[in-house]
Amino acid sequence: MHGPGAIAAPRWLQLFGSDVPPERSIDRPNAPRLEEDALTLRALAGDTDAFFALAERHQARMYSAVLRIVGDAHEAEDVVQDALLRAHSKLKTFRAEAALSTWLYRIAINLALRRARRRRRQALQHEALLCGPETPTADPAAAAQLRQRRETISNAVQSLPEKQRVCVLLRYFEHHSYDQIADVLGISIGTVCSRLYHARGRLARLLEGQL
Amino acid sequence: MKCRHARKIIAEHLARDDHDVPDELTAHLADCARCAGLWHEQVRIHTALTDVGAAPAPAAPADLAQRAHRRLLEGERIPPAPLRVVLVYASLAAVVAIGAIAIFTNRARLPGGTAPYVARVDPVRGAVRHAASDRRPASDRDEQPVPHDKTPSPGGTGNSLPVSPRPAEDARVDQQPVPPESDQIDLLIIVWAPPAVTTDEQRIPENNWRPHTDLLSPRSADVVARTTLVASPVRSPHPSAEPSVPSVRSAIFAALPVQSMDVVAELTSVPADTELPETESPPDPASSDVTTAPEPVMIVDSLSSGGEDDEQPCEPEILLCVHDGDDPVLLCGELGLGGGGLI
Repeated sequence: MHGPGAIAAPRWLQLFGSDVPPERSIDRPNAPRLEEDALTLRALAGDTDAFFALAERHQARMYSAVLRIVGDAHEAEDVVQDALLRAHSKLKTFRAEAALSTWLYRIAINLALRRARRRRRQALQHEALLCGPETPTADPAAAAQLRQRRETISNAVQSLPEKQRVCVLLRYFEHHSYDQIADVLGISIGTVCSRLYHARGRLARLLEGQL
Repeated sequence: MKCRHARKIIAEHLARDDHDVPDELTAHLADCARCAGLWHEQVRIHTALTDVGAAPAPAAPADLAQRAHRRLLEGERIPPAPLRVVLVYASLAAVVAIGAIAIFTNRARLPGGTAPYVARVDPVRGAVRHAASDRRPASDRDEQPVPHDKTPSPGGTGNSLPVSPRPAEDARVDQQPVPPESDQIDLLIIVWAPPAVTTDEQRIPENNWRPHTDLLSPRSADVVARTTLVASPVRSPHPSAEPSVPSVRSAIFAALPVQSMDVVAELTSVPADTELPETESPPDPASSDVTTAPEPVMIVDSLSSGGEDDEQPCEPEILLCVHDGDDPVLLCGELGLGGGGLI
């Protein structure tokens, strides 16, 4: 199926060149690069199936980051689906400055932030960061202590300003590199460094005597 | 190393996940307790966050992309933009529209603007001659106002004067719309006395020097009150016929619906013996319709400098010129002479 997102061939070729360094794209570590590029090309040519096949490769990471931001599983699913639909409809505006997966991620993060702002005005869920499964431990006391520590840090992170909080989420919870964070948020690496530096300082003050 | 530089290195070091601390940073931390505390604080939080973030990510539903694909196939539209975004764009559009209307309106109100009701006379001198050369009776002119264009007058002589003095109540003014207020408007009032007035006996009493009040509408009075007003004494080949500046001033001022002391002051500041800018020689009848460029201060001299029409008594004219830069708007009319007096 071919959608409205077809663009001219010269733009496609940029994806094959060195314009997009592999380390700047948010891929699964074991994803074959060529297969990813082929799907991207087909998607840009208007192949909807290829687009959603590509989206399927990145949906887990999109969902994880979105869930940590919005704090609600159902809302996170909605956000990811909306992001995919929005990306598909705006595919012709994709400028190939970064990988298509980074672009998808960026759309999802922006939508999640918008939803989070709305939710924050209603009711803030401080446990949003702890939506991952518990790590199995043999010692119940140690497990309880670890859980307490995670909750404390999670609450402190949630109280950060939005810009700093998103950087911390992407860096420490989604394990993105500084380059990737800069790409996703559309800011410079220096800004990422600065935001993380100030976020750590603020967390140190918030968590003083608790760690 | 300064503390500021050390903190920058700390931030970048943690960004690189580099376990090797630069030597210069180590040396600075050994000397600066504050930076050392900052360093330990950053590392402690970094470690804590890394530990917490090591927990597995929440599992995502496997069919997220497929569900989105299904929604697309079912023809579901993209969720509409949030209401806030719509409101912001609507507000911006409204502001732009209001601004455009305001700009258009202001341009239309300026004399140099494109408002159709503002008639421009360019050049002024040619238009003055054209108006003065209309030989038709006032009643005819009422019915068919003389256009201020470059069309030669029907008489073709060009130096003709009004046929006879007319009572003030019959005299009509070739009046063009007065442009609305503008800070950029300069106002120039020129009083012209025709050379037919030659003797002191015929000199009109000063209180008969009065322009038509409909020439100076309330609108123009507003303009006068806010702008520079210059009244030139009459330039006539016959000095004895020239009214004094005070008489001109009082005549004009009396005609203003708004009594403005500013106007009086401005008029008073123009003494009778003021050296006026030189004007061109009296117009040549054959070239009465030739246009010339408007001058910054326009003095309209006697329009009849000889010929058979010199003996014809005529009415003085008042020329009200409102101009903005090179786009003058001319109002011209005749002074009403009450009681049939002759100058």
